[in-house]
Amino acid sequence: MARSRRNVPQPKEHSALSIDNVSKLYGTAPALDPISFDINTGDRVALIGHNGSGKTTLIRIAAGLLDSSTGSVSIGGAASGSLSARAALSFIADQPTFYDDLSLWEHLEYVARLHGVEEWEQTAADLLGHLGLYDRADDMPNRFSRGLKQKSAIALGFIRPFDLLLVDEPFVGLDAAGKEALLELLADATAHGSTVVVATHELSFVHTVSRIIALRDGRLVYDGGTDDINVDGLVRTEDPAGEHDGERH
Amino acid sequence: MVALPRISGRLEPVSSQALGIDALHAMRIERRKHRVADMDWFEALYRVYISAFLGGGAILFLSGLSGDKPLLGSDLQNVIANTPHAVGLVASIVVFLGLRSGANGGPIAVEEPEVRHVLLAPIPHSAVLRHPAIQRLRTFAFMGAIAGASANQLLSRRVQASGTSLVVWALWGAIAGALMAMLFVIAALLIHGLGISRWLTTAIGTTLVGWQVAVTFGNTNIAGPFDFIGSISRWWLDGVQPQDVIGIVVVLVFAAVAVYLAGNLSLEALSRRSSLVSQMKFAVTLQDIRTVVLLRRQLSQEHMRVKPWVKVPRIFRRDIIVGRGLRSLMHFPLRRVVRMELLTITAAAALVMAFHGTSPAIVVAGLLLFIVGLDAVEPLSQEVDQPDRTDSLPIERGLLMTKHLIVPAIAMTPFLLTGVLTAFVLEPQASTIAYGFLVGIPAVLAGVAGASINAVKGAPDPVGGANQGLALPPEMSGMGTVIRSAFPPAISIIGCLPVIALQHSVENGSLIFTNTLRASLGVLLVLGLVAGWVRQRDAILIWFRNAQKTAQTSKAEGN
Repeated sequence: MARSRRNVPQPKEHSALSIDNVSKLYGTAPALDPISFDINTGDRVALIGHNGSGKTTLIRIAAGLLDSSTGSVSIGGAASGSLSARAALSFIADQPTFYDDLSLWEHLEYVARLHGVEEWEQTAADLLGHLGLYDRADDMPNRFSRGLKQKSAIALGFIRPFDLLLVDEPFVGLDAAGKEALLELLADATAHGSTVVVATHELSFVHTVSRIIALRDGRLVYDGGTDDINVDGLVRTEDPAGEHDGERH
Repeated sequence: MVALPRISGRLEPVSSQALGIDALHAMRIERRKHRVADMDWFEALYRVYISAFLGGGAILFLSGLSGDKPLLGSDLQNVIANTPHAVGLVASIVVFLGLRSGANGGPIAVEEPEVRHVLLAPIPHSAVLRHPAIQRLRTFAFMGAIAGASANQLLSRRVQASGTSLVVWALWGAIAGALMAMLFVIAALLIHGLGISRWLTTAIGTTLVGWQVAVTFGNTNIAGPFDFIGSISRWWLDGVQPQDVIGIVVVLVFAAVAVYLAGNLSLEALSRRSSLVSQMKFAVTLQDIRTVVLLRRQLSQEHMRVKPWVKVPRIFRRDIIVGRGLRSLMHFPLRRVVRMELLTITAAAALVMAFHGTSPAIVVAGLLLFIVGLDAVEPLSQEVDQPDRTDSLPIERGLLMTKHLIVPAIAMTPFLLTGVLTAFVLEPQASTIAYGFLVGIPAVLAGVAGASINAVKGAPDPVGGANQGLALPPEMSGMGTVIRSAFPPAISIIGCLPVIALQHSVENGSLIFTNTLRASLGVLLVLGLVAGWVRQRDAILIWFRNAQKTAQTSKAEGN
């Protein structure tokens, strides 16, 4: 007799990204005070804060590139840095890096196949076309301008499947068409159920998110929705919490 | 704008692992093919030729120096008896450095894109990192083998009665050298892979070195942890010893464990090192020692103290340049001071060896004091690093640089005392102190002078270098670059020459003090010329350029 579905334990719903009491010290200098928050699957989150507020540190810890001093990070329930977490997470860093001896097309093939994607050519062609890089596919990305490097890094971030996309300052150096293309890609990612976390000051993106997390001097100073806060003020101010705590419309 | 690509829905990591590893291997093979295809074979062969020419020439020169005084009687017995402990001591220091390297995130450095794209992919890190770990072991073993073979054949020149062929000498030296170098990588991989904290690493390293120092200088029958390496280098005398073979097996087992642990290396450390090491390689290619020093400090996370050791009193700040230099020294981190002290102690020991007839040891002493000097001239180097600021000051550049020599010269005083004390420990006679100062003062000042020349001449300009103006052929241009790079350490080595005068005077038994004093004054005269060069360098360069222009104009008018 078939077992009743009601008796089968349901899989535990994990957050797409769970930050639990994470802090970071560089030597004795604190870069990040203990921070905790969860981001649900399908959320679209902007991570904001002034220079040196700890955004990049936090995002690199989440990506597994930095070791936290305390606390833990999990991605879809798997510890950050584990195989499962690495399969789920795509990270686009603020400083793009490429191999000296591979063309953009070869980079795309390499990254796709490292992630187990065998049918990658069409996606790669579509991505390059979307980002306006199709004609540069056979060029060496290491010799590109800042903007083209950024677009290439975006293409590498999207060539592989992911559940969670972490992006650090992706709009820097992009032209208007590049920004528009990236915004469409980010929107498409969330439309397909992926979670997107972007560290940015780009208002056009921040206006589209469902949640804002603001950092100041390594501390979490705001974590909430966008409906009840002056988003423009929060992004533009150098002291988001100081000026805008409680400034809800 | 074309249609959006299909981007979501990830694959399970289990299925992607094998594919990912296949992709990794395929791409590594492909990239190797690219490199081989792109290689300029003529250029590579030319480099091998130059390296072999210079390296071989240096070894032959040093062999000639050491061959002048064969070891006989008690001296020979002394060397034979102490070789295991002494070589073991060097090995323990190498292991200590390896342990520190591991605690600082070494010894592997992969490319930055490898960290970003491969190590963040769902592939086991061990599959990615074991290959570079084995490569690193292999490279170090090879370099160690060459160094060990060279050292043993140098020794063979002084042990003429051994009757052993040079090849056998070189072979045992090569095995000992390879093991020693492998221990560096093994120690680093184990510490990094096991994630052992820095303080515990230092404690382990200090214990090992302390143990080896105790058995080397103490009157004991207890073996040191690394005596077996020294014993292997002495197989020319004893033949193959079973207990030493066990030592080799233990090293190989540790090597296997270390490679196994390569998958545990920290991504943070790898990411930090990847960009720094590639910059350092470029700086080494350009023979830019200052950049190498700065990057090495970043690699080992050696930061200046925020709080000075002592606040520099106002009286010492009357001259702002001297005051700035003293303030810089007061921010030196403890580890830098300790490193400078250890290098000075080793240099002093090398000078004592030179006094006992191993003349090439002055090269070691000179190079070590040059490295100490590189740290001591930090205020000057900082000034050279900021040319725009220096040029905007209402003071002549040459005068500014010359004034910056004062503080490093004074700063060498405690290191001079350490050196003299070391010599006294090794040669416990009252006269050692007097001759220690007589030899030590020019030696430490020459270290500063060599480092100052290196700092003041700045980074080499690969495009608009001095060679270009001289319109030299490529072969001579390359040689010119080598000479320019070798000149600063050569000055430091020249500073150690009084010990040779002392040695010869003692051998001849006449005018010991006078001859040593003359040699020391001669060196100080050379150092005075260096200070003069620092002061007048800009004027000399301008004069030289003007002379060149005048000559070219005259030639054009003549035509």
